[in-house]
Amino acid sequence: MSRDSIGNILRVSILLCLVCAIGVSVAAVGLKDRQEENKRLDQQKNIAMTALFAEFNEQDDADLYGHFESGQVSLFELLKARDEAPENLRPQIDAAVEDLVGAQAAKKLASLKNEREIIQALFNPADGVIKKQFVDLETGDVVPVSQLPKGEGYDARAAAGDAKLQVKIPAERNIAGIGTRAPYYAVYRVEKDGELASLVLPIVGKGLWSTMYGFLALDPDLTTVRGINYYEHGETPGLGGEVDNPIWKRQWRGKVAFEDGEPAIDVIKGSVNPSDPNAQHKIDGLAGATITAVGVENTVNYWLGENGFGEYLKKQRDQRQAGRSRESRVGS
Amino acid sequence: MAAPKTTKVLFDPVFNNNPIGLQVLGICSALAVTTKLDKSIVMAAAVIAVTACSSAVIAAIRNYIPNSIRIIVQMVVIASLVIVVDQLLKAFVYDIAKQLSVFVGLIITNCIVMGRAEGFAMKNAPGISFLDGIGNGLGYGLVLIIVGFFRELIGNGTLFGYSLMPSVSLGGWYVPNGLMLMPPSAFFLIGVFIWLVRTWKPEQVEKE
Repeated sequence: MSRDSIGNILRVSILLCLVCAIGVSVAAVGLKDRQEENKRLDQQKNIAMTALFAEFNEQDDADLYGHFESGQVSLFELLKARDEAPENLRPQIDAAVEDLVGAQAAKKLASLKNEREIIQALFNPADGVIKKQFVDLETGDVVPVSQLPKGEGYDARAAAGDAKLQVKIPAERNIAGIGTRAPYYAVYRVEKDGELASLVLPIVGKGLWSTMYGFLALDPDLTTVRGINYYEHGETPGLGGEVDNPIWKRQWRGKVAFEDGEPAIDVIKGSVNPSDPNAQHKIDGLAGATITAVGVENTVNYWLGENGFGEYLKKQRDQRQAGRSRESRVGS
Repeated sequence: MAAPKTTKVLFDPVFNNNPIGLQVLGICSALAVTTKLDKSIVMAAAVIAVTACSSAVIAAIRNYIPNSIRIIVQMVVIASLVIVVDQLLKAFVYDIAKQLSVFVGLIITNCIVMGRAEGFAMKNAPGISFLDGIGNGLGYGLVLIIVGFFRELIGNGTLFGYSLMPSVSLGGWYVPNGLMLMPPSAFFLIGVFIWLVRTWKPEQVEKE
């Protein structure tokens, strides 16, 4: 049979397609678990980094500040630096880790070497310091996993795009530019010795070019910002991409996210004047990336507001208040 | 036709017949993925793997490929290999795969891969075609790595993410050149590379 006969053309194309399809499928199916695992670890690492970092200042912790050349050092950097640091710094680093996660967890983490194990230990449902729970945004209540639409397999990002599950956001409230949201979102309680140390909320909203996905960590008062971190965005490197700049992210620390119960974060143009009475709500803008900066502001305010986690945060704050007053009554 | 010599096939494309420098193929991905050195290296490795394997596969079946559908056959082989490489990257170097994003998939449209399949693998044995693929991948990779080196160093003051020239935003002295992170800078660097290679090997200069 000649090479260019119709029969041969059909035979070659069918065989080739079969072989290639099998090759591609084997690779995709065989590696799927690993890829999913990578994705999950990457997100978990971001959650941990948003909330778990030590703060050093130039006067009180001069040694550590000098060693890390930075005032904010993530748990991962601390654990990594532990073995390489000079002898005399080690106890200080250990103390910093302990300060973040409590003595028991610190001991456990110190014995772990690679990042994967550390992340797994942090998120271990039994004794990890980061606890995941699902929140119904409508009511602000915590929802057990068994009541989620797909149980363990529930994924908020998929649900936001699923016509059966998604909740439409009315146009006038759609400040984050996302249009639809999922009914339930996972929030992460970071605990130290059983007490809430910070709360990490997922945030998503439009920047200039892309939808930006990240996390926002709040202090236990659920009003003060602890940190912000984007794990996925497609903004221009060097301009909007500067949302990843550690220096820019660092200034979110300690900002007061609410005023009279309403979200009040304000990313301004230029630099914040420290004597401004509203400086506690204000964040420096990103030069050359006004739209991205405004997007970040709107995203944060949306998710802290009544259409985001507002209801949940309110309930949690009330509970905390109630717990406090009960304690003080017992004390007196 | 005399069999091509192994060393010539392997190393000619690196300097004498560089796919980017002389043939000016594969420019667009060279602009996109060279903002960081580690990205450049992974991309270079991916292209080397795809070019070499696709050339070998196509050479192995070259006597069965009907002439009328040969381009489509080449595309199918290349596309399948690229998907496999993409899956491998996502499974083993997730961080970098995340940054390379769409550009791994775009290896499919990289003219170098198909150029070698059509220009070399269709006429030669699988072994030598494999080497030709590696050689051309190396030629492409070399340019990528050189460009990535300078763009990361000048644009960020870092290499492999380690700070060599501490930038002002991290409290150092170096004011990063933001232009280096934008695509045009890759044009300048590739231009300089071509200029240097042609000064070294004047026979590459086109006759006027």
